[in-house]
Amino acid sequence: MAIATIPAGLRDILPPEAGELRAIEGSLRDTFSAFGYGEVVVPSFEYYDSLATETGERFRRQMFKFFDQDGRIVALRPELTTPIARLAAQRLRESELPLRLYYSQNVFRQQPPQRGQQREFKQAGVELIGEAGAAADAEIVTMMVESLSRCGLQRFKIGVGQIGFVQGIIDELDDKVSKDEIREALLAKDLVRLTALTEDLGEAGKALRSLSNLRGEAVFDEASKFATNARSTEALSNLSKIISLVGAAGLSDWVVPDLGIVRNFDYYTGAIFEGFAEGLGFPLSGGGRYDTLTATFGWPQPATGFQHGVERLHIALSLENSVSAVPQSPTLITGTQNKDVLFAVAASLRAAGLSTRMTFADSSAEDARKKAAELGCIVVFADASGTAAVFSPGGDSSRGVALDQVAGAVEKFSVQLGAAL
Amino acid sequence: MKLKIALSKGELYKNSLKIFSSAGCDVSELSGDDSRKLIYRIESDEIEYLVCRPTDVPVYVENGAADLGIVGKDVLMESAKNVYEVLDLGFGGCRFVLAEPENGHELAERSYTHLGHIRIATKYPHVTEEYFSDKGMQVEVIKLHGNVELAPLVGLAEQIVDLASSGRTLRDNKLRIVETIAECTARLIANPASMKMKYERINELTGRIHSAILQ
Repeated sequence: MAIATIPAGLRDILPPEAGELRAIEGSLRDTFSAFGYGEVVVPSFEYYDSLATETGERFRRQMFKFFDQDGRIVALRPELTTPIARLAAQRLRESELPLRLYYSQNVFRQQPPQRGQQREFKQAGVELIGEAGAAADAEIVTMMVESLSRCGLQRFKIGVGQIGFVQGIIDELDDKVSKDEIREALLAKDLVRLTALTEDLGEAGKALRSLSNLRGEAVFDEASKFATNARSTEALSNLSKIISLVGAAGLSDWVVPDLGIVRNFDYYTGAIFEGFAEGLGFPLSGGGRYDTLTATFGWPQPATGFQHGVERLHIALSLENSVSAVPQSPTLITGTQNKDVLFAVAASLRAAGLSTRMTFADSSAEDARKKAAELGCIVVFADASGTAAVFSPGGDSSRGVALDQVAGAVEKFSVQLGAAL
Repeated sequence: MKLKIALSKGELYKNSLKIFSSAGCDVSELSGDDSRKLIYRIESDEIEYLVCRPTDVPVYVENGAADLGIVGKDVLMESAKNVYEVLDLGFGGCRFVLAEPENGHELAERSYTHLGHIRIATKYPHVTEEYFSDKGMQVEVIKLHGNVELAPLVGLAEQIVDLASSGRTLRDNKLRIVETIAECTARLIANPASMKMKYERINELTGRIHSAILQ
């Protein structure tokens, strides 16, 4: 039989990587909890129609779809915000607003597999539903920063934009102008095409061409010259408040106002966020305000949120050499002909909080000593004599240890090893 | 802060160096003729130049292995990568054209309207598919790797989508341009993450390049 394989774009995750990803996930969850968010878990697959509301063409194409027993089309979730909007409209209408929900689940997309972009990957993020206004968006931004810092990431930036600013400028354009083409050029990051489309559009054209330069501290002064209508002006005011509140939280160093950020025009209605890590060629995190989504499920509510790509965060941390170390090697007990002793001693070690691995092959004290050096972990040898020998990888040993003293002996060596590291 | 710039080997190379030179960058090391070097580290400018095959430049830039790149719009259109297209550098002009044999128009028409099927040979399947799908036409795209002019002459296809500069190759093979699909010149592209994380450096350099072009 040929060696078993799995479909492209999917992968098995093995130790220690799985442990590292869990640790990262744990830090993110701790941050979300610290902000008072509660976890929700949504199903792996739902009706395609629920998932396809308001999401872009790209997600619709990329969803893994199949049929259930009743012949209805179901699909694996490509992201979490839409299912959670559905969940909120369905189950949480009577709850006290705003809803503060967090998640950490896998999503599925039929996209070309590459580093940091598999077909199945984990997103960890939050949704704040039922709260309009800059303070809510500022809360989201502070969570983005604090969650990344808590994971140990140091060199990153969160860009905060406001889609209302550019929408306002586009609104002012003459109806003859192809606004859709301008939006397409902005989304495609095609500044050459944008220049061609806006050359003859006067100040508005200049504003559109300047978008990617409207970032940083001076942005509010610069941009206000281009804000000719209420929509753009309010957007700037909103962005300014968000940045100011983030400053009050002491997080300005990681946050950049950036009017050049442009994301799905139909979906986002206000502030938009993008997170980048140094050395990572693609975005780490994304989000924004999406006030029209829950309405498609019959319960109109303002909403804002963000998510991190957990695998991408792992890559970013690796690039910084900041991945949390895998826990120390567990104590290993080598077997004797008397397996009763083996099990009893292992249980006593675990009860003392010491992670322990048993081996069942018959062995000797001499073998145990060699194994300790070879594997770099403490090895306990328990034989029929009623006492045990404990070997440290550094060469120290204790012999003739009473069985009820083994845990203590192991702990002593553990502390020594910890100090040496 | 180091910038990595991917340059296209071949047609665009010399003009790329000229632009960088006019923009005040030291590219003297890269001007040697037969060097097989792939990476040039210019410490004084804090720039690392990577020499790549043109079709590979968008790949390096999209992945972030290069912050910036110089590549033809034709390559960019075919590769459809997620990169910032920052500047039109003006040189390397050519165009995508739809062409057919001089007296092949009737055959092409008939194939499509009567038989509902027309075959287009091309090195650029993505551009071709986009072009015809925008027109609402369903065609069979036959991917070739070179000398595409041969295809309609021997009955492999009714028309071709190819890159033309002077148009001489088409004329020499008795092919007629039916339509110009797009004008292509060399472009400066940037990785989206680099645009954000190395903003000041990239903005400063593109400013100098932009001035150099305008002269």
